[in-house]
Formats: sequence, structure tokens, C-alpha cells
Amino acid sequence: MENILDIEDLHVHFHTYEGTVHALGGVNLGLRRREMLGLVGETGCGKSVCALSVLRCIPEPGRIARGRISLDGENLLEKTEEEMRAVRGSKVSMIFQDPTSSLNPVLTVGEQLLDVITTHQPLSAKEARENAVEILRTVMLPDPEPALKKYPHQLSRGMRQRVMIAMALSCKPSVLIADEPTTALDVTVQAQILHLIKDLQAKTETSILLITHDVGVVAETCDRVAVMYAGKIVEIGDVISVLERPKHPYTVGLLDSIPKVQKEKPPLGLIKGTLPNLIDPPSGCRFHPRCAQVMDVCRAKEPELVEVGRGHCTACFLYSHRNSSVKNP
Amino acid sequence: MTEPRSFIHIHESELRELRYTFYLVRKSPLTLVGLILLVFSLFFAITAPYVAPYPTDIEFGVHLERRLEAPSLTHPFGTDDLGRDILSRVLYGFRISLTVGLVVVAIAATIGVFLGAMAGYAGGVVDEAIMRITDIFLSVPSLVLALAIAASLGPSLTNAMIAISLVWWPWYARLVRGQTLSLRELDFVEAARSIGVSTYKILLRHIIPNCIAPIIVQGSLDVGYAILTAASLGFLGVGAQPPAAEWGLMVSYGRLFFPSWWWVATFPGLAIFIGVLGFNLLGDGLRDILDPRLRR
Repeated sequence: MENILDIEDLHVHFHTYEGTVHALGGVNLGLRRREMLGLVGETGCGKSVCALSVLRCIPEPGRIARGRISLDGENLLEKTEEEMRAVRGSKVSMIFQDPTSSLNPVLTVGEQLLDVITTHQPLSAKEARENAVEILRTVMLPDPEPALKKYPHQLSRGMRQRVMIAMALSCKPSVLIADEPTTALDVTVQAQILHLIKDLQAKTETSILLITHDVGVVAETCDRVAVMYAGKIVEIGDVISVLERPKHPYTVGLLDSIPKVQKEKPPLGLIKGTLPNLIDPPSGCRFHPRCAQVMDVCRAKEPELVEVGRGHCTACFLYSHRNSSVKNP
Repeated sequence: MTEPRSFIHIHESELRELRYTFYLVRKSPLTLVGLILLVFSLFFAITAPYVAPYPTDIEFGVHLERRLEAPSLTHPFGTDDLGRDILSRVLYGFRISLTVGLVVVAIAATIGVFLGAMAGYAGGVVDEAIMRITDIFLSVPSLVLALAIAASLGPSLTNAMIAISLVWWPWYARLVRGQTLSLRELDFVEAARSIGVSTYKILLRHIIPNCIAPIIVQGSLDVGYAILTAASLGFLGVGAQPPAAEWGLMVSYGRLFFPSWWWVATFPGLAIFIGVLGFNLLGDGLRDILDPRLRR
């Protein structure tokens, strides 16, 4: 029971008019206790779908086709909607990308925060209020008492994101999913929010799944990182080993495409081609049509995650001959 | 030290908002006319029995010695065939009509908002079922349907109110369903769901408060139409029954004396005109004021 959250062989399909989109094609991911795991990948590779499936909040017409998501040993996919509602917010909660649209414009901050608190905890109005002020103080919102009476539009973006974090943490969840929590923010505010999340994690011992497309953010904050491509995890491991010694050709390409500050500017690396259409995903390895080192086996078989270093796994046939496959990293 | 200052800050910004609203009202003279007419109607609705010059004439007073007198200083709107002072009755009519308008809109909006929000949020079979029922109601002309319902319930003012409410809710259901369809896709609804808030609470706290502006506009326009419809039902004999001082009934009654004793029908008719016009102007104005694109 090392992992608090285990995602095994998760398949998510979206049934659209044009056909079935295989948004997730067998994701294996484990979130360890008290760690911060970064999930990186391009837009549309399935990061958010992966997060939403943990909460079982996939928008229509999405369906979880296969797989197992266990939180603390309990399979979330077998729970009823009623039981799931008790999990959301109290055991797993989520921070969204844009704090502006994630807060209801016609309710005050206090009303929304108290709603969340009273949904999961049987507290009196006074206790809930004290609780709310306390949480706002923890997320370092200046003047928490008057802030409760304010409407979202009266706060700055950074303050709104602090309120969102407060709402997500108000019931002390064991897993926090942060879906690009800083994308809509200024760089300086971004740093503040990331530090806040990091500090709170140390204090509350929450496990965090941080979804982002910013490798810099991952390098700065996360313990481990998972790289996702076209609905599959292609590489996972410690931040340092993955970012310094990337193994999978996609990870290598992704890291090469980040502009660096240096005197001589070599041309930016780029990955040829575009994301495959997931209605009809490529056979074998989903990256093979864009891969420079493609082999015959890549077209025929799906690669499994193999260990290439301590806790560092990748799903690529370049490494599979000398390593044994790993079930759930 | 910081707290009182921020309190004053909130106070000031709210005051500014209020002042801006007044500015918008002043900028649109028709809204102001509507507002004045509404205040005027409300005043008489509340004070009718006290300001009416002949309070005993409102329903049962019979004064055959002064029947069908033309407008004069003692009876500014004249008297009817039973010698009742028409001004007193018209003033009391404000109370009846306003009650009808407000009650009808309250009932219709409650039913409509509830069903519309459910249909829009649940989608699928529930949505289809509710909206097809709505369509059935909308496919019959509202006055005819109201007439049929009122007639089958038996002619009385209460039944007329029930009938009009039953005819009117589909408009609110449609309005709110449309709003809900777009609202339920918004991030804060998803955020609420992801944090474990129940469907009932999402509807009540997140969806309905966000559709309140169009409901207010529709409601204030509808009070006028409800007054008109109630008067029509009264005129046709399935609404208020004599001797109630209801405008439609008074017009219908006054028709017998038209045109020689024109004042019997004309003044209640004018009162209907003023009541409906006031709410319509106000509703139009509110639509402009509540439109966020016009604000700043």
C-alpha cells in the first residue's frame, strides 16, 4: 500500500458522431503518499480527462470503458453516484485552470466556501465560518474576514485562485488534483501560487497530482513526473532523471522544444507531424508515425513500461529487450 | 484598523453601483415613466379603501338617487347605474389587478423556473418530457386556454388566477432551460460538482441565481399582460364576478351604457391601460438596465 491512488489500465472513450475517440488508451499511473507528481503532455493528450476520471466527472459523451482507479484500496469505479459525491471534495478534490470562471459570479466567496465545508462536515454555522476564515488564512489571503463578504469580481486573479485552493483543501482531502492551476496567472503570481501549494502539501501531507504543460513548473515543484502522449503514459520517473536523462523519443523531443536562455541559439528542436487522430489511433506504439527511431516492432505491438533506471520507466521498444516490464509504476 | 477601512470600501463601491443604476434609470425617460406609474399603482393598491372618496361604494353601495351621473366635481369619474362612485371603484381595482398580476407571475415563475432548470440540467429524457409538455401548452393560444381552464374550474377571480398561471409557466420554463443549458457547461458548475455538491444544491445555488436577470425582465413584462388577461377574463364573464370592482368586469358592464353614458366603461378601461403600460415600460427599461453589456 505504497500508493494512495492507483490508476490501472484506464480506457476512456468519447462516443461522438464521427466515431469513438479513444482519449485514454490504457493509462497506468500510481500516486505515492505525500508526493507531488507532475503530469505533462501536449494539449489534447488526455491529461485533464485522466484527472476528471478520478472524480468520475468526465463530460458527456465520455465513458470510462475499462480499468480500475483505486483510492486507498477502494475501487472508485464501483461506487454509486451517491458514494462518489462523498468522495469528491472530501477525499479527492480538484483545482481548475481558470479561477475566474470556476467561481460563481453571483455568490460571495464566503457563501461558496461555506457550501463546500457544510457539504462534507456536520458543522454549525458558526464553526463553519470560523473554519472558512482559518482556511483563507492558511492560503494567505489578506483580510480573510471581509473577503468572505466579497464577490469574486472584487478579488484579483491570484486571490481568486487562493480561494479556489482554499475550497479544494477545506475538507482536508488526501489527494489534490491541480489541473493547470497557474496557466491563467501572471508569472509572479504563478510562483506565489506554486509555493503556496508546495507549502500546504508539506503541512497537510496531501498527495498532489499536478497537471501542466509547463516543464519548468514540474522541474521546480514536483518529486516525480509522468509524460503523457496521445492517451498513454510514455515515461515516468524522478524529476531529475526524467528531465536530465530522458529515454523515450517523445520526451526527448518535448524537452528539446523548450526554448533555453543562452548566448548561442541553436534552432529549437521540434517533433515532426501532429497529434494522431484518436478516433483511429496508430497501431502499436501511438508515437511511431512521428518517431525518428521507429522500428518494425513499433508498428505491430504496443510497448509496455519497462524500467530503465531506479524508478524510471518508459514505454519504448528501444529499451524493452534488456529490461523486464513493470506493472504499475 | 484595516477592517473598518475595507468595510467602508465595500460600502462605497455598492453606493457607486446604486448611483449608476439611478443614472441609467434617469437616462431612459420611458423607464422612469414606467416606474412612476408603478409607484402610483402601488400607492392606490395599498391605500384604496382610505383614499377612495366613497369607500362604501366599492362593492355594495346602492344609491339609486344618483345613478349614471356624468363626471363632476363630487364624482370626478361619474357614477354607474347603481349610483356607485366610479373613481372609488377604479382605485380599488388597482388592488385587485396588482394582486392578480403579482400572484400569477409568482406562481407561473415558480413552476416554470423549477421545471426549466430541471429540464436544462438533467437533459435527455427528462428534458424531452418537460419540454414537449411545454410545447403542448404553448401551441394553444394563451387566452383561449386560460378561458377554457377558468370556465371549467368555475368562474371566479381565484380560478382565473390559477388559469392564467397554468397558461404562463411554459414561457419561464423555456427561458430558464435555455439559460441552464449554457450555465451547466460553465466551469463553476463543474467545479461545484467536482467538489461533491449535490444536484439539488447546484440548481438552487448556482444555476437559478444566475438566470435571475432575464426572469425579472420577463416577470415585470408579464405582470402587465397578466393584468390584461385577467381583465379580459373578467370582461368575458369567467373572471371576477359582480360586484367585485375589477376593471375588466367594469368595462364589460359599462358596455351596456355605451356611448350615451360613456364614463362607465371608459375610466376602468383607462386604468387597465395605465396599469399594463406601466409594467411594460418598466420591463423594457429593466431589460436595458440589467443587460451587463450596457453597464460600463
